[in-house]
Amino acid sequence: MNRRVKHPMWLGALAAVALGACKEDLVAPGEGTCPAFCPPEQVALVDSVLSGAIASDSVFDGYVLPWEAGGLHLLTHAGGATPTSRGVVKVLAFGERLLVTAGDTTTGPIVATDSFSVRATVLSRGGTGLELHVHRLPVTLDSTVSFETLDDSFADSTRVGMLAIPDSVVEGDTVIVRLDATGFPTFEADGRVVTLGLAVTSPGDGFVSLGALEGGAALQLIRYVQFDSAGTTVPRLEGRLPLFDTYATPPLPAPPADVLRIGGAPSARTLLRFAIPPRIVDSSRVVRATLVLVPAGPIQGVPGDSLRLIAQGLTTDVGAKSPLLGVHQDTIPTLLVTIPTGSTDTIRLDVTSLVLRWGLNPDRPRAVMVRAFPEGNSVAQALVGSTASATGQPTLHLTFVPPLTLGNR
Amino acid sequence: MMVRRLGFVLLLTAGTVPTLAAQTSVYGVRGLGFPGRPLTARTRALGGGLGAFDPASPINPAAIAGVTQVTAVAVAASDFRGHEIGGVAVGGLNATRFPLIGIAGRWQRHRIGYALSVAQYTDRSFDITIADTVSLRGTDVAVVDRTISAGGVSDIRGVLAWAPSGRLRFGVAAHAISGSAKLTLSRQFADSAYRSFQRVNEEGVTGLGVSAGVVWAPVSGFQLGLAGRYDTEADIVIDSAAAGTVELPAGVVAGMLLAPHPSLRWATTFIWRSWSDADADLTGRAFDTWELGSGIELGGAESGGSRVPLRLGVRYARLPFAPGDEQAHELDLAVGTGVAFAGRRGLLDFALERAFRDGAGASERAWQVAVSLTVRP
Repeated sequence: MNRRVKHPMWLGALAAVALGACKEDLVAPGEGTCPAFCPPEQVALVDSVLSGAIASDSVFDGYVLPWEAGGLHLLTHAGGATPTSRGVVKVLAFGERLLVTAGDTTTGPIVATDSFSVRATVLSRGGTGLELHVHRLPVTLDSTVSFETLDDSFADSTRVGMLAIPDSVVEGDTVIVRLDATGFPTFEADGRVVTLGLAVTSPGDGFVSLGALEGGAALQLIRYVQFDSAGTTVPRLEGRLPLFDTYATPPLPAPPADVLRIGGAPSARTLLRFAIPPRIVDSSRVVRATLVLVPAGPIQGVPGDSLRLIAQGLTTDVGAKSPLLGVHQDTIPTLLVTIPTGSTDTIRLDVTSLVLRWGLNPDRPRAVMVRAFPEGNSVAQALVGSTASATGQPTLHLTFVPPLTLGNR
Repeated sequence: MMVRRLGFVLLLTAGTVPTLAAQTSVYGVRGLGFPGRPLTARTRALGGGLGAFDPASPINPAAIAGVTQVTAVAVAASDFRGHEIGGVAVGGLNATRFPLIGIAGRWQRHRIGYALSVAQYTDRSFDITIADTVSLRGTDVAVVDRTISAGGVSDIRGVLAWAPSGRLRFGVAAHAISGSAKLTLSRQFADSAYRSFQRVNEEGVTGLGVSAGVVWAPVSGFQLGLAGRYDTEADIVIDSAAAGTVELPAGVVAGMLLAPHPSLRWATTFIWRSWSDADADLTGRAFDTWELGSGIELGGAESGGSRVPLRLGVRYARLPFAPGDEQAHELDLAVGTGVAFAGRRGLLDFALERAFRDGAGASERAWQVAVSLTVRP
């Protein structure tokens, strides 16, 4: 009787082990197999340029003002005497006394100011034979200063220093301009506050973009002094960061009515609203979507500079103040389009992720904001045809798989 | 006591039900898939010839009346395949499936047998990858398409059978046909500017059927078997939405078993199915099928001779589905054996088959191995 019970139990265990050891490897290459021995459904692609997919457009500007930009963009055109952008940097006030030793509260008076130096980080540079000129500006200037009001301030008489920027300077390098203390005769009277003017000249077209406060690489003014340290006069230096930094450019002519503006300073954005047929955006699977913009002229800016554009979706469409959908840091390089100034090539921006989101979430605004990336760091801008343009309307180039249901036999 | 044994056997087999399916074939991509062969390893080794009489193989419900005690069976089958289509040969394909589990018993007082089984009806599992180049936006882009179907249709059968005498058995069965498959079609682009495409649909198949059969032994050592089956049309559902129907075939089974000596048995079974009923429901073609299997068994535990039997079989079958008007066919050569253990409460049977499938523009060769475990607690 005992045997009758025991044997089925170990047989059961054997069965469980055997049945659990199954595997499956059914992969077969399809060369030669299809179409006869394949399911009837195949992936069919439709490639279509939708000229009417963009229902409306708008341009808004003033998103990033020059004093909010991450860089000071100084440029000059064709070696003209007048630079075509001017930087203004007001530094925080220097003190009358300095600490004798770090960590102590004992201070000593500053006896004399020997000199100053400007240390700046180069974000980008274009052209050769660049010269960076530093001017002494009235300390009463504020960050909203316009280009025209600076004409008198950027005279030869106000220039306090100059540096020939070597052509070997590259992005990330630091340039230093030595300034004589005699260049700031009203330093004490101004409450030890200094406002600097920056301009660049070159034999030809050129530009240099310097780090700014908002970009985390602010220009620094160093003051070299003689300091009474407990009865002994010793040399000492101290630095100050900007209270604000900005740059000013001549006002640009208003673009024609059928042209959209992107980039520049203050930065402009173009809002495009889409009307894509539901059979495509809702029922099909879009595998690639490209926003095609036709320049109305060459990309404006200094030769050697470039404009980087990105198209971002909206979380809510409230016009100019529409909050933008975030873009993952890893995907930015694939979404950015870099266009050299002077280019007239068609601009193609990848909007595949956005169109796919529209299909998944019907409540998402079917609109994109095209903007410079980053904004405000450059005066470079693109003028592209609007939906009212006779020849250069924006279009949407879609590649998609039409609706498909498997299960045919 | 019988109820306790029955519960124990069900416990042993419960975990295997979801994995029921069959080895697939290139001839199973179209139509409802590759027809299953829900046979024990013993019957497969005999070329399917014992199908009309084997109580463990769900072919003829009357065979259940021959069961003398609670019996459970589970079958595992592996195949190793290669095919050639259009001059392109593909090899190294394999799959392992569990095409049949079942349990049967008998109410001795009333000479009534009962059985419940889950068997493969069709299998439509495949995974096809195609590399190609397409022209997009003026540029050639390399793509890889993949078509996958994972699933099949099972035949769940409940049987009642009666043996009014030692020479005559009757049986009737009800069938529930149910299955699902996950269908996937995808495309990957070599150019990362294009997003990959993938479509996944869940397909469901349901239907009903009835069958009836008789086994008659006019003289000792000789039996005749006859069975018929009718299935309704199958309702096809794609992602919970009705997607049409496919006619399922009716079938007729006829068999002969000759045992002139305790150590020699010769069995032959013929099966016809009206698969062409589904022709109008398919994009490919469906044909009526017939198959004839025959085999001899020498020895065995009950023979009084060798305890280890030798089984030889041959089978010829017409296949139901093809992409065109040419019907494919299959020839199987089989050999097998078996061993009893635990006082004949357990049986392990083995079958090795060589399958030759040809026609409709393709040819396929396969080695098939089947193992069945029979337990009589």
